[in-house]
Amino acid sequence: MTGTQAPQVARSPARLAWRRLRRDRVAVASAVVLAVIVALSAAAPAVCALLGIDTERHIELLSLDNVGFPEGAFGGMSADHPLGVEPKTGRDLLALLLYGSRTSLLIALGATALSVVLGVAFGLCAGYFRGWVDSVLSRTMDVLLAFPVLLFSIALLVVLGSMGNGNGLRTLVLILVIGFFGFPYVGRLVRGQVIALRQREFVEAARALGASDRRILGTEILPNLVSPILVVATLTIPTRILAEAALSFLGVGIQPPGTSWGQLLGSASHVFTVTPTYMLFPGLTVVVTVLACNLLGDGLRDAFDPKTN
Amino acid sequence: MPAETTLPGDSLLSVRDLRVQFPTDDGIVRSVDGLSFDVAPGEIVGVVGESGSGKSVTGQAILGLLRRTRARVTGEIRFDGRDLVAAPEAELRRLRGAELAMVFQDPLSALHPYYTVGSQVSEAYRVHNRVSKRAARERATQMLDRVGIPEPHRRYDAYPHEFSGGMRQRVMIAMALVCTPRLLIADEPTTALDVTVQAQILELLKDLRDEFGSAVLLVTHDLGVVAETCDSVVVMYAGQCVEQAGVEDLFARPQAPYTWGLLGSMPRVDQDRRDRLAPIGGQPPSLLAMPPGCAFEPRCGYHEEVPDGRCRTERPALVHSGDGHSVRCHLTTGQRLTLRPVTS
Amino acid sequence: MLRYLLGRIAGALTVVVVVSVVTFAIFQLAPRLTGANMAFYYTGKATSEAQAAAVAQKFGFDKPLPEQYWTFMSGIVAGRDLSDGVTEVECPAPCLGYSFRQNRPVLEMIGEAFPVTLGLTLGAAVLWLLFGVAAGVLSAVRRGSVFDRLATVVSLIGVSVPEFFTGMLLIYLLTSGPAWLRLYPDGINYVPLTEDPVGWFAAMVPPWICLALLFAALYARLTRATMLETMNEDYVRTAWAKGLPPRTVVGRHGLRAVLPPIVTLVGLDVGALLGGVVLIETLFSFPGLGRLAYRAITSQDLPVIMGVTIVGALLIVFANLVVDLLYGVLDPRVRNAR
Repeated sequence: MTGTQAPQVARSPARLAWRRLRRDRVAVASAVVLAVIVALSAAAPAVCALLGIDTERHIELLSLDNVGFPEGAFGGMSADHPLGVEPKTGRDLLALLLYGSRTSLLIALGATALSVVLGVAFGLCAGYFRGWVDSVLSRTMDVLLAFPVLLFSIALLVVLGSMGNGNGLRTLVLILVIGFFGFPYVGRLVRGQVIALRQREFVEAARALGASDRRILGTEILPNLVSPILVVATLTIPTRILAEAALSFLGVGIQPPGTSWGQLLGSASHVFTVTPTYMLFPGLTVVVTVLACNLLGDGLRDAFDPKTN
Repeated sequence: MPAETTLPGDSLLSVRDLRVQFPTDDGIVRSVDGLSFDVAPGEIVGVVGESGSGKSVTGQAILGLLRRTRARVTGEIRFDGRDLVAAPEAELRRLRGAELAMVFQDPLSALHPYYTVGSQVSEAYRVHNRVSKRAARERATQMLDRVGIPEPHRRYDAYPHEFSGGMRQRVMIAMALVCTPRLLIADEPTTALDVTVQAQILELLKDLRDEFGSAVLLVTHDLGVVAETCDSVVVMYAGQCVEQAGVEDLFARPQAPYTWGLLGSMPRVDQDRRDRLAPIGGQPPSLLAMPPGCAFEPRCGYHEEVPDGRCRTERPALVHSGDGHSVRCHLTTGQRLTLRPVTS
Repeated sequence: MLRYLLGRIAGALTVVVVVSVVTFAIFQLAPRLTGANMAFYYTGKATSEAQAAAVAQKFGFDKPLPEQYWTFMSGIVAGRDLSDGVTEVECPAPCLGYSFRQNRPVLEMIGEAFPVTLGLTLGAAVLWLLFGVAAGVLSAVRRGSVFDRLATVVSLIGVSVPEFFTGMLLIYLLTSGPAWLRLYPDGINYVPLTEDPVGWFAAMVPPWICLALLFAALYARLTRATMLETMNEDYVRTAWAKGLPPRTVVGRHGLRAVLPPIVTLVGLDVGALLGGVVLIETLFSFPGLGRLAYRAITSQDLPVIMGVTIVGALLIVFANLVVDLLYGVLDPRVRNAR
């Protein structure tokens, strides 16, 4: 609503949000950091080739009298191996991190997508149809929220992971398990939003005009959910990254010689008192990525809904 | 009690050139833009306007409630000789609740949901009076009884959600009057209530004014409420006063086109059924981008009566006529008394 | 009120049943997917044909799945006799199963592990509530101040650091770090409270810090947001209008309204943690429920897994129930609605 005299152009909410987001320096910086991380992981082979590093074993770098720990200070840091090498195998840590980020990000994004799709489907139906549909779907989500999720994820990974040996299978199982257990959070949020939208005039109007449920959901409600879904998705990604890291840390996720951030941290958990750098770099990578995601998510939320700040 | 409040010495509250500005991302919002008026002891003054006219902000500025926001408040608010705008927070806190009290629009959200109504009323008393818990309870119960809460001893321990809307507003009034303040600011006290309850609450306010001698600043959008309750009126538009007069004078001889519009959109018992209510067309101007001329000009049906398009280029000043009636309009006195549409 | 309570308890039991059914189903699925011998999952031993047959007979693997599930669940109430094909064991009620790998009843193992987890959880909860809520309130009240900005940044970092990473850093610094920080040169080893209270406390401090850092950050964010919302409420404006001093407005009127959501969250978080602080217990090698469960899962010791998940689910729903009742105490509107 603009004043009759005001020399203002009507601006769509998305435009306004975009403008606010661009002015938010923290959010922009986070987006840049995330873009760099994604680009580096996507171009991992090229980056490795450029730096002259690889994920091959280099036993010659390991000390013989120190039971397989890298020669030299700080986990064997050198010009050739900027972050040092992995204990026991001598693989380059930077290369492992670069390749590992592909797995970690793939799992995080895949699981987020699954959580969001399931959550939106459940939330839309529960919030729109109410009645017994809502009861059944909401109860289901409540029960899932009361599950000892970590234990179940471990159990499922142990059972399903034993079907085969490949990390490809494990990646898929991780996506499914992490994504599935995360959806009730999204579902609850979407349900609340839909219930609020249902009462709004334009939905009432569409219903009065005889629009079908499908049409109302598709053309009236879903478009209005885009911004909350975008925000919740951004804020879900870091929790999925942490979930993958936790499961792989416990040794039930990605297995060596495959690698992911969590797998590196898990391997490090046995040796970190001797080579702390082997734990430090993967840990910091996780922290920076998760922090950037959280900051960007907060920025998005403030941009779409400025009154919350 | 007609408006003989021109001498500042007589008045309990004297507001001069009050300005309230909110800085926002898109610019400065001038919610109140140079407002002046007086309230005499025991007087009921109505502040009328549409939402966004700055009337509620004025009430909150007087109590200093805007100090915790980003708002910039300038000008002068003299209460009993003290300037509240410049007063230190500690002094204002001593006045709040004791000499200046406030009743808000929606009593359900204005009462704390987790405390009993009695404890909320007696808390207001205990802040300003060193008394025992029991004495405060006694006093609060009396007050609840006085505002018409049945069985006050029992209802003292009830929670706000257990009351009806009208009863809740009575509790709010009891809480505001428990220290017998000299000025009560009532911010749309009846808007959230049923029509029948509205009349009771207004009656109660008048009775209490007579009993305690408290002056009342009644903020409302409803001229009907003003006609029933007030001694004098300030009509606000876009943060400025457009007309100010004693209540009988205003209803008999309204002089600003905006007031005509407000009166025209007000249902009346003596109205011919064929006459339709005439809402004021258009929207109030954006407080971010005020027109250089009269703020009401874009919606005003009389700007062609003023030569040279002055309504569009020059902001009219508030002109005082001798009888305590002030108007902000470029129309001549003659025009203002004759042009008003007869039907409304 | 009684009706409401009964309804809640029924709901809670449903959750426990669902959790147990799902756990049971997962491990029924396992041998079918991997082709392993079912008896292995129950006894954990490479069994001979004859033994496997004996186990199968004793556990009734040939019976329909619902019946097997029922036998297991009714064993909790009635007790049952079990066998790994070599030894016969009597498992008195409440029987949560018997681990033939460890040759101990599951209940006994859980009873031993629970105090460790309880100590970890409660100690950490005290810490995170103290620091998290205080920081959140102070941030909200001094909004935009240096403290607020600092707290916001620190808490955002706090929620972004995995607790096992904090744990590894702490262990490294305290056991192998610079000499002045090497407070635990012999490692951080769990000692039961009853044996050595001082040693227990000393060992608990580092894991407490790890957990508390994460949760304090979460609680600070929640408290700040809720408090900011509350301070904008009409009833807080009323409190200011009464002339109350800031201390009273914030403490009595603002904080009171923040209490219910915080209590809810504490209940749920504590309930979830009591079921096992898996990551921290595993990293610190504390013999709590989490490590018990983790080890049971990775060694596929089905009776222990079933026992721990059921107990974990029970704790979560019990916490839910307590939170619900507390909410009624804290919010008079809810109290009357029941």
